Amino acid sequence: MKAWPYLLAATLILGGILHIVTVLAFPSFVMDRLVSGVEEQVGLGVVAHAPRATDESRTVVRPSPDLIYTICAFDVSEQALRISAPVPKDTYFSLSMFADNTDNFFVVNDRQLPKETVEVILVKNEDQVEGLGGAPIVVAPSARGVILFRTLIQSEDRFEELNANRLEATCEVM
Amino acid sequence: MVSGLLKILGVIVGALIIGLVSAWWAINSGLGSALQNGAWSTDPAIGSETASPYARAAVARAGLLALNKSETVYFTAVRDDTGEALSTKCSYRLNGKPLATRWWSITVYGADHYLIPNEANRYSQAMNTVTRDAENGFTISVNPGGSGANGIPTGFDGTGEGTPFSLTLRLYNPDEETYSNLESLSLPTIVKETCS
Repeated sequence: MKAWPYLLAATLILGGILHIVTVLAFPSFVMDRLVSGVEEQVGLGVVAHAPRATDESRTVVRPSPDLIYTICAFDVSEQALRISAPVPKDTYFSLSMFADNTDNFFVVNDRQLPKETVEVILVKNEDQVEGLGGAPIVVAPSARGVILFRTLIQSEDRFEELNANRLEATCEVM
Repeated sequence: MVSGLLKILGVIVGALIIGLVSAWWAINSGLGSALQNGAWSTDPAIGSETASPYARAAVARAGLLALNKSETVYFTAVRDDTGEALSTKCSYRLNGKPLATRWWSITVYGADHYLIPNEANRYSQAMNTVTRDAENGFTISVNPGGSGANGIPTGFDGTGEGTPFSLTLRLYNPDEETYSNLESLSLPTIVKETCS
């Protein structure tokens, strides 16, 4: 009996399984590298203010040179996180959150924010919510992930003002 | 015995090559495999919980931390209107009409998905930077030096064959009608003019 058809079939089936595992694992692998990278530089639950994107920027692919970014990597498996930032006037601003599989599970922008400051509390489980009254609660689908503040540089002469504004964003482990 | 081990080794090596190469090809096939509009492509599921495993992998490779479509729509172009791959050695003219969105920008990226070094340190044009015509439309010139109307440099220095590049069109806070009709939006045309 010839063995090669069985060997070919085994190769294709194993290759197919490897293909699926690689595609499924890749987003989490990349996000984990990002979270770990931020953790090494500033720690978890701490904001890091990225300089304006240039051709030397290599932290995240396809950065926008028209925005300034502040990032906060989180791990809410044990403790909740309080996030706050002043909302700049007359320009685009958003606070967004990303799970460990790249999903954008929460986003709010300046037009949806009635106050001059945005404040939310991020938790992993509903049972962490008790005693955390006050700010709106967001439940993360994964313990680890990334929070990103985007501010549009609406005009170059507002850069200093907008940059100073975003430096006031905070992430605080509760 | 040795023959059997060699066969098993052959199966494992073959499976590794097939699995990893095909997965890498799928991941690099781009963000925009789901929807095409002229030279531009996008995937409406970017950033959402309904994204397919392939869309998530493509986002991780070439669009990490992308927002969902009601917040921002990301269109990518790797070819011009005739289907030819964009090259840094060529000059292109983009003609666009007003877009129903709060803010938009067009950014040039190298084949490595990062901004391209250029003497002007200019990487994009946006709604708040372009000069417009009488009908509120705009022309953007994408060429090695970034010359011409609303120019963006591709950084090609005249040596070698040039390299592939891509364009990203971002639509921030698009109107609902915009993000609900991504196939029929009137997006900028991309016309090749000359190549060095």
